[in-house]
Amino acid sequence: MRELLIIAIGSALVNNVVLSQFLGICPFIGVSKKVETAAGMGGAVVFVITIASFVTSLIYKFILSNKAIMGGKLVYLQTIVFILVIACLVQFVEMFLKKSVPSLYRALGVYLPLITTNCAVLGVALTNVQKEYSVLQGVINGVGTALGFALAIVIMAGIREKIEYNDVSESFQGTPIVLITASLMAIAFFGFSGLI
Amino acid sequence: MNKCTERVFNGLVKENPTFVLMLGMCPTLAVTTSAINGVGMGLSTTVVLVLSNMLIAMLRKIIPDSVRVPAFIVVVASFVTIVQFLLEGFVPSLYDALGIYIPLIVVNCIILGRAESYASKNPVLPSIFDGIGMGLGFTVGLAAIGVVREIIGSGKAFGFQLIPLADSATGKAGYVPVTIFILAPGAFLVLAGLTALQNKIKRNAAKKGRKEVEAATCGEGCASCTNGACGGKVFPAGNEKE
Amino acid sequence: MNKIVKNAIILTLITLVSGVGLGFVYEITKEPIAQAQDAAKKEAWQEVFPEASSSDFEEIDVDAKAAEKAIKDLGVKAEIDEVCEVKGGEAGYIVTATDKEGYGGDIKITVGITSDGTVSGISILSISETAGLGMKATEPVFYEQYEGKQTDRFVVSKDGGDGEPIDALSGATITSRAVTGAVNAALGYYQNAF
Repeated sequence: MRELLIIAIGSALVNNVVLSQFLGICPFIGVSKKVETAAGMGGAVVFVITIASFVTSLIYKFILSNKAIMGGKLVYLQTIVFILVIACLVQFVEMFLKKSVPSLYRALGVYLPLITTNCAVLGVALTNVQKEYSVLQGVINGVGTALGFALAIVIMAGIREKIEYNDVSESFQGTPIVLITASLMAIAFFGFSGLI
Repeated sequence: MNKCTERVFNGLVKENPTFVLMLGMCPTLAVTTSAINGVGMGLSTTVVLVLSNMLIAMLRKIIPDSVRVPAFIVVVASFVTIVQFLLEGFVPSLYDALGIYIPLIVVNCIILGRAESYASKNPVLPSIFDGIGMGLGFTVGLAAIGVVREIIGSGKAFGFQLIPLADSATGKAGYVPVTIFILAPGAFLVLAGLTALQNKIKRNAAKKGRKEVEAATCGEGCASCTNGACGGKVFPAGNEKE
Repeated sequence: MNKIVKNAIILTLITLVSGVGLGFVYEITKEPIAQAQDAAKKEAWQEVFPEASSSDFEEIDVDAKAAEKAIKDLGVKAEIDEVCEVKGGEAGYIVTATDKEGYGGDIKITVGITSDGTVSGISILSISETAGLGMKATEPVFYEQYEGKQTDRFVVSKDGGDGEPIDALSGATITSRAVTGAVNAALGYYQNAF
């Protein structure tokens, strides 16, 4: 239990996926103009990463690294298998939500297709393999990472809404000021490194 | 042949993926702790980009429109894995330094973006040169960020000690490196600075009336990439209804 | 419906061809990859036992029981990867151990131990810590702290406890602990197995 908690805190705060591992920067900068949309994107990412880390862990454990199938030699196919699984998964989730949970679909729908190219999803799947996590640990790591992403993007959106009212030097308007904000957030998140 | 050089110029300057289109931000920020790593990442990406552009241009009449994105992903992922093997076998030090970011080349928007917006619509040769141009542009961008971070963060450039360091033990005067620049926040800071610089140059150019440059280009690139190229429906609408 | 089948077939074909192609490249590059790893390993051996000549090294099997006991006693998350016996010249053993609790993942270290239990040298085989902080573990100032010491275990001085103290890298205690963990695992294995 303690170990799982450490994994969760580690992936959400200490090794924050956006601010210290630089995964998922595109949506972090692209979809963080308003708190509302940022929260939507964060929610969608939590949803997809949780499922994706579960499915990819299962596939890795029982198919790719399974000694019974080709003597576990299929490990080298992991990148291609993972990205295809994630792409299909996102599509299935979208179709499923559309039919069964239309309210959730309306909230997350627009963000779902964008997630295939969010490298955080593939990143989590690959870290799970690299760190030899069990399926449960993998899922916890996934949830932690995704919550870390949601946290970072929502905070960023909150700050950006305020920046709107500030007088920013002309050259720094747009992306540069966002990057500087991200830099300061990354420094702040360093404070968590004493936690584990 | 003229078109080919035009493609290279386009990738290097006019549509530089790092500074103008703002694509592939994740590796841009993550691996640029030193100039060498930046160049290594840039060249690996270039190889994948050229090969995938080539193959996709070759297959552009065969791949059905409705399943093109998954088909592109398969092609790109295969080349990425091949590059990964080659690096592991022949340049193990770079393989260790780039780590998890090698497989993540798959989700680099530049590659899928070029496949979608250029290679799938153009013949093989220009597509190859488009890949070379874009790849080199990316490499130059990464190297620029890497050099700045390395010089400020450790007083070195490409591994050579440019500025002599201070040594507290012997009391030798010298440069005290600003470590934060090779850490995560420094990546954001340097990119912010370089983008702002580029904005300024652009505005000055616009003022002089040399060229009309839309100030909006910067930063919109990423969003438009996710909207248009890579992020668009993976299995487009026609397929999912039935 | 027909269109879907056709699309599916083309997509499957592309995937199949890629898969087969990958398998092919995998087979071709398998040899160089193994060679590169082997070369790195031998280089590390030479580094931790500078006086021995390359023919003095003989790789032996890892004693799984001794390894398990050593790691259990230490309470670290580590594993013993390879063991090599050094004959001739200054005799001893070389143990390669991986600690899984580095800040950026696994840290794999080769430790040379002479027959009287002194650490003759350590070499870091793979490490992916934060540049400028944890990566400083690869600088001699840090890893030379372990060399020439005759002890059962090292401790990061900040943590206290029994053992030879090691000054942690500033800002990278986790890395320092992981490196120490790997060295301790190697030492523990040496004591249990030989």
